[in-house]
Order: sequence, then C-alpha cells, then structure tokens
Amino acid sequence: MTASVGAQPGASGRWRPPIRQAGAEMWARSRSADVRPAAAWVLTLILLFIYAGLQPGTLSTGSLGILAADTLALAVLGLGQGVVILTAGIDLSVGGVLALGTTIAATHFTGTGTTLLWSVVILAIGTAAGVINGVLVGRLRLQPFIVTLATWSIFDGIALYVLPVAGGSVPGGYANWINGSAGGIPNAIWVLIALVAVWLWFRRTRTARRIYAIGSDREAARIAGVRIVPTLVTAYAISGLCAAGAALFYAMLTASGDPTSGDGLILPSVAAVVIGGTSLFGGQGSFVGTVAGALTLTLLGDVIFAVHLASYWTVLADGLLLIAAVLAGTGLQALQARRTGGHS
Amino acid sequence: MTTVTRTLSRNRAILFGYLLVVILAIAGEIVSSGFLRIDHIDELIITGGFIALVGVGQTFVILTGGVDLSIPWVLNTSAVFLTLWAKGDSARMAWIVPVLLLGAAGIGAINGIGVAFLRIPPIIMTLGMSSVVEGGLLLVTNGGSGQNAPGAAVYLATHRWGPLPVLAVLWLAVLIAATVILSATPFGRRLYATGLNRRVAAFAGVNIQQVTVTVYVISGVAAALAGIALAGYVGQSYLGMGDPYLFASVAAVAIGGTSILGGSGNFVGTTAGALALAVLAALLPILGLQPAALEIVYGCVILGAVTLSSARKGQQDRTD
Repeated sequence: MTASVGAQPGASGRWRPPIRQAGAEMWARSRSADVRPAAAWVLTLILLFIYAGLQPGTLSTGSLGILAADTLALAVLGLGQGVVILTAGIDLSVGGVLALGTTIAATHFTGTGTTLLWSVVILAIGTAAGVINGVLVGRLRLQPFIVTLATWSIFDGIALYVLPVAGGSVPGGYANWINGSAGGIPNAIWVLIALVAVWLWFRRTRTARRIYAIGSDREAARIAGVRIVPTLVTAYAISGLCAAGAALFYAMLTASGDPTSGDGLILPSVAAVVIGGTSLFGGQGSFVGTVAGALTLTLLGDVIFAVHLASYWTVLADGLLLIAAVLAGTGLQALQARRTGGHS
Repeated sequence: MTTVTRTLSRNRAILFGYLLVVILAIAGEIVSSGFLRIDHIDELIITGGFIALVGVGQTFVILTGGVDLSIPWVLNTSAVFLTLWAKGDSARMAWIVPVLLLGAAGIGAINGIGVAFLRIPPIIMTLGMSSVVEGGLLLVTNGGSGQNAPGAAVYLATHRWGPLPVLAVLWLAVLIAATVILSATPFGRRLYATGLNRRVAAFAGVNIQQVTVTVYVISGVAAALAGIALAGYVGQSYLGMGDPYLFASVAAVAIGGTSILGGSGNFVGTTAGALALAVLAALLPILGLQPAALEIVYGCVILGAVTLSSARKGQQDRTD
C-alpha cells in the first residue's frame, strides 16, 4: 500500500524531469512512511537512559551484552509472532512450543553431540507445529486464535510429559555461550544483529511480499494470484521455528527447562510486536520495530528492579503496556491517515 | 412432528454433545465398574459445575464474536481474596461475596469498554487484562499461597440438598437463567444479532457497545463465582488454581456447538460440553494417563469441535 503512493507518476498528469520525479516519490514515501518502528526505538532509548541514570555502567559493552542476552528469547519469539501478525493472525501456541523446547533441552542436552542433535530436533518440532497451525488456519479456514489456543494447550501438555516440574540442566559450555563475546562484541548482540540482517533479507523475498499482501487485503491478494494456503503455512511455520529457536536461547539463559515457561511469554511476544509498531490488523510492520519492542519490555523489567519495586510489577506493566501500545498504534495510524489524505 | 425434527436438526451439534457425554460415561463404566455410582456421578457433576460456571461467561462472550482470556486470573483473584478476607469466618462472606462480584464486574466492564469503545481486539484486550489482574494479585499476595476457605464456601461446593449437590442446583439455576436470557429476552436477540453481524445489528438499532460491555461483565461475575465455589471445594486458595479453566471454558463452549465466530449456539450446549469434559477428566487417570494428558485432550477437543462445526457450516452454506 505504501509503495503505491509514489508509484503513480501519472496521477497528477504532469510531466516532471526524472530526478524531480524521484524526489517527489521519496517525499511522498517519507510522508506516508510508517513512523511507528522509529517511535518504538525512541521509547527504547528513553528507557535505556532512565536505566543508565539509575544504574551507572549500563552503557558499557558488557552491560549492553547482558541486556541483549535477556532480550534474545523474546526478540526471536517476536520475530515469528510478528510474521503471523502481518497476516492478520495471531499465534498463541508459541508458548507451548517454547515450553516443550526448553523441557527437551533440559533433559536431552548432555554433551556437544546431543546438544547439536536435539537442537535440530527442537527446531524441527517447532516448524512442524507451525505447519500444523498453518494448515488448520489456511486450509480449514479456522480462526487463528482458536487453533493456536488449542495447539498451545497440546504442546503445554506434551512439555509436562517430558519434564513434569521445572528443572533439568544443560551443559555449562552451552549456557555460557550467551555470555561470551567475539571480536569485543557480546555474542548476544551478534545474534540480534544477525536476526535483523536475516529480516532485512527476508523482507525483500517474494514470500514476505505475499505475507504483507495477505495481511493488508486477503481477497485482493487472492485475486492478484497469491496462493493463500502455502503462504499462511509458511508464516506459521516461521513462527513455530522461531518459538523453538527462542526455547534454545531461553534454556541457555536459565540453564534449565520449565514446562510452564511459555505461558508467561505469550503476552510479551505479542506486546513486543505491537510496541514495535506492527499493526494487529495485518499488512504493516517490521522486525526492526519488534527488536525495540522486546528491548523496551526487558528494560522496563530492569527499571522496575532498579527502583526496588517487586518484580510482579512487570507482569502488571506488560499488560498495561500492551493495551497502551495497541491504542497508540491505532491513534498514530488514524493521525497519519488524516495527514496523507487517506492513504493506508 | 415436523417442528420436532426441525428443532432436532437445528440443534444437532448440541445433541451430539449430550451423546458424547453418554458414550464417555458408558465407556467409563465399562473400563471401571462403579464409574456411574451415585457418589461418583456427584463428583462428576461438581467437576463439571466449575467448568459450567466459567463456561456461561465464555458462552455469552463468544456468542458476540469475542473471547475472554482473563477468566483464569479473575477466578483466582476472587478465590484468594475470599480466603484472605474471610479468615475462615463465614459471616464475613455476607460482604465479601458482593464485593468480589462487583470487582469482577468492574474488570469485565473494562474489558468490554476496551473491546466495544476503544476497538481493541478481544484476544488482546483480555490477554492484557489477564496480565494486569495476575500482576495485581501477585503484588497483594507477594507470590505466596492463600488461606483456608470459610465454611460457607465449603458448604456451597460440597454439600447436598436432598439428592442434588448444592453446586448442581446452582448450575441448574444458571442454566435456566442463561437459556431464558438468550432465547426469550430482547437482550438475547440483540446479543445474537451482534454476533452474527455487528454492522447490520448496529444499523438495525442494536446498541452493540452496551451488549458487548454486558457480556464481559457477565463473564467476569461468573468467573468470580466459580472462584468462590472452587476455593470452597479445594478448601483453600492458591496461585494458579484458575489456569486449567481457560482451555476448559473454551473447550466446553466448542463441544457445545457454539460457533467460535459468534451468532449461534447456547448454554444448553455448553452444559453438555462441561459434562463431557468432567467425564473425560475422570476417565484419564483410570486409563493410566497423567494429568498432563488433560491439557492435550483439551486442545484436541477444541480442534475437533471447531473443525466439525466449520465443516457443518460449509455443508449448510451449500444446501441453503
């Protein structure tokens, strides 16, 4: 939708020199560009400076590495959740997949070989879970929330079978990797950079364009030749894969597994996406914003800890922040629609 | 005769729900004799009663095309505050119960206002509210567990009036009230109209905002009531006691043939769903399955029910 604003040179019916035409297009695009991811980064930076004021040394490489490590699981979860939300869906099952992943990790990671092998198995299970969600949503046309609510319950149940209570362990080297660094930059920050790079590549693929198309107008996308079912299956598979990936980082961070770990991360995964400026109604958003959303949630917890408030405040604050972000997103969108004369 | 067959065919999904209850109960009796002993049936009815209590709210909300994910923590909060304030003294319940129901109504009203006026998607609004309520409860209890339930709550959950458990009488009252409200009042008609098509309902003069806020209030109050009864049954309150009731409430509604998209279904169906889930929950340990299996069963049941109902709807669309 955004691109089409500038792509109609004949709209004004007036010939312009190419260079001025390009300038006009860029101007039109910047006027209609989504400001929400940028707003999320501003919010992140404000919180970062507040936290730095409370906790001197926050801006050192080491501290930023810890911040990145704490955010990693949520950011990966948000990457997948964001892709599904772009299709105007929602994936509640990320909680179940994450819980199952951590329990498998905590019971089956014993050495380098088993860690590698079972990591692949966890990622495969996550992807398969996503494919099941995608087929049910796409092929059988069931409501995304009811399908993923059901599979969330199923995967939570399986996780309880694998490990009935929180515990288990992962090899020390595996858990320590997240605190390591390469070339003076913490590993966790490298992973975040890599994820953003993967996203910037993915965004330009045909699959991504189809996902955006389905989210902005499913019927129009269908008429334009987008095959709905395979695209939805891909979107949910990406979410499942990401939830499994998040489980690997979660197990790394906690050095254990927990069959109930996922339930508390479903809301933050949606909140990170929404704070990051992705529209819940699909078709608009970017992982660049989601990273800021995830960092915001982590920093909020850090600030709450730094001012000596009970950690339970984060649960309450996450819920309020999610609702506030939805309202702010809708408000900003309405404002922008008015400014650009009704375009997207 | 024709009206009878027409009514039957229109309510095939609900009949299927009750058939499921009978089949499961007979299966239970076959694998474990005594499954249908009167005292065990009592137990099944009590287990189902809690699901039915949360299910009535979920039914009203889903009928309008929404969903309430905040039920578990509203239930848990009501249970914890009951035990916290009563300190074992039943007389105090005279003011505690109204306060709890009012508080839950307030939470439901905020949910409804968010959905109806601020246009926040129901999943997001109630998920956010759930987290706010959970956080608030954790702050109050500081993460510790609650205290013992007062005697009156225990009486409500475990005593019998003649042949019937008190909870069964409450369930029956809720069943009658919900059925009358849904099928014989203007509010019921407005509710179905809202669920079928909001825009058309609004054009037809239905105050969809009022309907939406009301159903979330009903859901909040029902969850609080379930919390009070559950605290009585367990004898105390603890954090996480509401957790199973999110999946259970949605599963009961889905088995009962209520459309997840809203606009069709009723609480007679959800009652069948609650009974079926109670029988299933009792069957699993007999079959040597861990409690974890219950969550898997809930998920499969929800998937199966919504798949069936969407297939049925497709068939209807073709024949109409």
